[in-house]
Amino acid sequence: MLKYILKKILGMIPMLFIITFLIYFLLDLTPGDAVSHLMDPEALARLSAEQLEALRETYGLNDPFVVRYFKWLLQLVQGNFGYSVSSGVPVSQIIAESLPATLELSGTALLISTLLGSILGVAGAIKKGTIGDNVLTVFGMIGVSIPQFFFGMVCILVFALNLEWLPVGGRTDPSVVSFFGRLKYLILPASVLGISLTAGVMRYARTSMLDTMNKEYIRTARSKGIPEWRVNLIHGFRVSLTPVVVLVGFRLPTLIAGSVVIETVFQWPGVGQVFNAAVRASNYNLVMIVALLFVIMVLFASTIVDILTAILDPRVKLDS
Amino acid sequence: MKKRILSLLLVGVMVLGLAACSGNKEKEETKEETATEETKEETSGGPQVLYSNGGPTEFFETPWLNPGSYMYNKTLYDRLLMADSSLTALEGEGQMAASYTFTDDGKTLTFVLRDGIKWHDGTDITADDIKWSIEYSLKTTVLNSVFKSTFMAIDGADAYIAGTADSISGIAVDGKTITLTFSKVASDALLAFTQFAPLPKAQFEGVDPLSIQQAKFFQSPVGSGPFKVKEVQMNNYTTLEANADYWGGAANFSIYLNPSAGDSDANFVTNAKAGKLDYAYTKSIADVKALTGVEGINIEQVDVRYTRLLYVNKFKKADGSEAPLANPKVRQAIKYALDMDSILEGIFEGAAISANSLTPNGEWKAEGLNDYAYNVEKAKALLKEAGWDSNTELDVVYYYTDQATVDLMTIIQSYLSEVGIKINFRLVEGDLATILWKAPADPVNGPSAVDWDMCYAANAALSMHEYYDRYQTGYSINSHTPSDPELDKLIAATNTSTDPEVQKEAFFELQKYENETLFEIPLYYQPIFLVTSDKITEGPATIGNPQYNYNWDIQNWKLGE
Repeated sequence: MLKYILKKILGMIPMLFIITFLIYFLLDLTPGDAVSHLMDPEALARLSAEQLEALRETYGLNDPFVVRYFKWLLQLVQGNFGYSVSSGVPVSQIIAESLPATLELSGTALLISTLLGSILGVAGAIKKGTIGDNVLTVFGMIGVSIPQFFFGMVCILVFALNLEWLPVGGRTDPSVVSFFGRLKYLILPASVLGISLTAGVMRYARTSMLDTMNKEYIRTARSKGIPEWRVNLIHGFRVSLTPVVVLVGFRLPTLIAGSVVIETVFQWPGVGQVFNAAVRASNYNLVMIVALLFVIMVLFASTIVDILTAILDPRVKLDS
Repeated sequence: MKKRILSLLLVGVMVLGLAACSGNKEKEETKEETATEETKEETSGGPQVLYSNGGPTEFFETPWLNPGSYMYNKTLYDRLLMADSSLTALEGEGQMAASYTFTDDGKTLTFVLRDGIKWHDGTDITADDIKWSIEYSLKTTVLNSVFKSTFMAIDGADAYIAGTADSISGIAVDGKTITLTFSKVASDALLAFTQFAPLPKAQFEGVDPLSIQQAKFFQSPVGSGPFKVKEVQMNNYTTLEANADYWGGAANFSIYLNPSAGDSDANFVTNAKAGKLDYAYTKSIADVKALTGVEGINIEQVDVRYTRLLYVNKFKKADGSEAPLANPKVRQAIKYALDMDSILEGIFEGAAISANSLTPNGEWKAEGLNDYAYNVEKAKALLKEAGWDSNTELDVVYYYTDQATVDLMTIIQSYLSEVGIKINFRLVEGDLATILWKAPADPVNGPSAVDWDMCYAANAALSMHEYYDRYQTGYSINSHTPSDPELDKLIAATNTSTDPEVQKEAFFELQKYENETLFEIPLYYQPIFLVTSDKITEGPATIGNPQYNYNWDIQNWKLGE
């Protein structure tokens, strides 16, 4: 197992190198640079050529692309994440301030979608062909089809503006002192994100459960007179979870990277919003570190998924 | 067994992760508890909260570029002088200045600072801070053009910028008195000092002026105004508390700022409807429509100096050929060919006003200007007189990314095609300074250093001079208008006096020439909408442009439930 993990980690290094190079290259292709985003075009136009040159030099923008990339990489290897071009704040500080919010939102959404999706999916498979199953399938289709921002806006309209049960957005405010006070801010965005992901998990769990229920050993278990609930939950549910875990495992990093829409709709101060603003401002240092973070999370998640798959499915052996 | 151990290990990792997260939360909660206790203990700031927007997402913008766009820049800093709602400097006392005098010849401006005024960190505001702010700001790249032109008019500013002098000789400091001596007429001097916010010199030790925006100061600024920073949660919320030592009295409420970048707040409507926006402004008609009729919300239209126009490139092309729009008759034909009232009704539903000059309607507008009412036949006749070649295709550029701009460009294209003018429009991005405003090496004869024929853009002017100075021969961002002695003379006339009445007369003459020759094609004026809630029971006595600073007296506002 340890050998496998080490192998995986070593395999990440060239992958990270290639991916970061590609991101840096693509960012370099976008029009303008950090200086052209720092001030409005007319203010920029009033600068003399020398001032503009000095400004670009200050931000290290005068070097060729490859030189800039390797300078950045060298700093990174030395543990220096650099500074935000927009504010001069260390990138590590910006990430440290925004990542917990995104983890909180994504983690809760993942929990909601996994629990709801697994339970409803398995229930649908057990009650295959019934009205309940059909209703769940229809809801699943609707859930997949509705855009998150629209669902979010409707929820704000209903629960925040009309019923006034929950706040319209934000993560907290200065008057909040308790955990439950903070919780009310989390409910709407996490539920919207979680519910919109539930449909996918539910359909996956249903298919997987149906597949499992047709296996030889399930029929054997039934023929041995084991109660139906035990056959479903102990023998069927556990094995059918394997592909669901893979799905869920891969969803976490993509969820973190992709929560920008929900973060924007609900004014959630997470890393998605930071990333969005950084890309718009050609804020290289910040974009690169956030992108690197996303990539590491995806690679890390794939390793965790492999490990969990081995735990859940007795047929999988990692070392082999 | 092996699997169980692994399971336990994974559970352990998860628990540790959760513990780490909750530890962080506990820390934050403790901080919040402390903050709340402090709030309760303090009498200044009171329990009432005024909600606004424009809170910082990554940093506080310096107050030197857009002096009043953000609520925090309006409330954290005092200016030397105070303006009324029309942005005219109030006579007598100022804000930081207990008194000031400006000589009739416009050459000497003297301020005397108030006694006992302090920065928010408790240190004294000195005349040296004022001198340093003027000098330092000139070396930054974030200085508003009105401030820059005023400061550059101070005697010795050129030598200071050139590096041949350590300080500006025309700034003299004597105790609490600061005297500025101008080497030429600084027509916007009083206006500039109603908007320019001095900053504390001590906070900028070792900060490169070129990187001022990245200074640590702008993570939690130390100001001089009626409110000071209490808590900053970037991208989440910012709270400002009343400055108990403020010379004009302490407010009995605090300010909560929702984060939003620039003046486009995606959450404007939801926050307003949820009671989380008591004072804010918007340019979006969609926001206004969504909030019209909402109980407890008041909307007021404020006419401001904001004009959308088509810059017209009249310089010869790089190949030496004549500019297609060099002939004023063609420009007049374009103006006649556009039914602006219908266009604006369609796109902005009546929220924008058709323009016949850069100058918006009001006291600075000349009377009797030609409105160029929609007249296809007249447009065609003018084009015929000008010998217009209907095969010519005009290149129109714009830099806005909103749908309304694309709609407007499409409609303009359609109207112009009716009179035989073909246009192609395109979005430009990137180094806009070069693409749009690069002036030709020879500002008299050209050729042009830019490759567009018309540029759809906006002009948001603090001062009337900001509208017109850029059309002078050789002006650094004049990429479009070749030397025109008559135009130069009329613009120069607006800059010969500090007397507003004299300036007005000069601007009237300039507008008549503008209206006749259309050296640019003004399209429409866009007002700003001030949105306030019923919570403000006593607000400003008069409403001015919410993007600038005037005597709104916020420390004395009264809030209800």
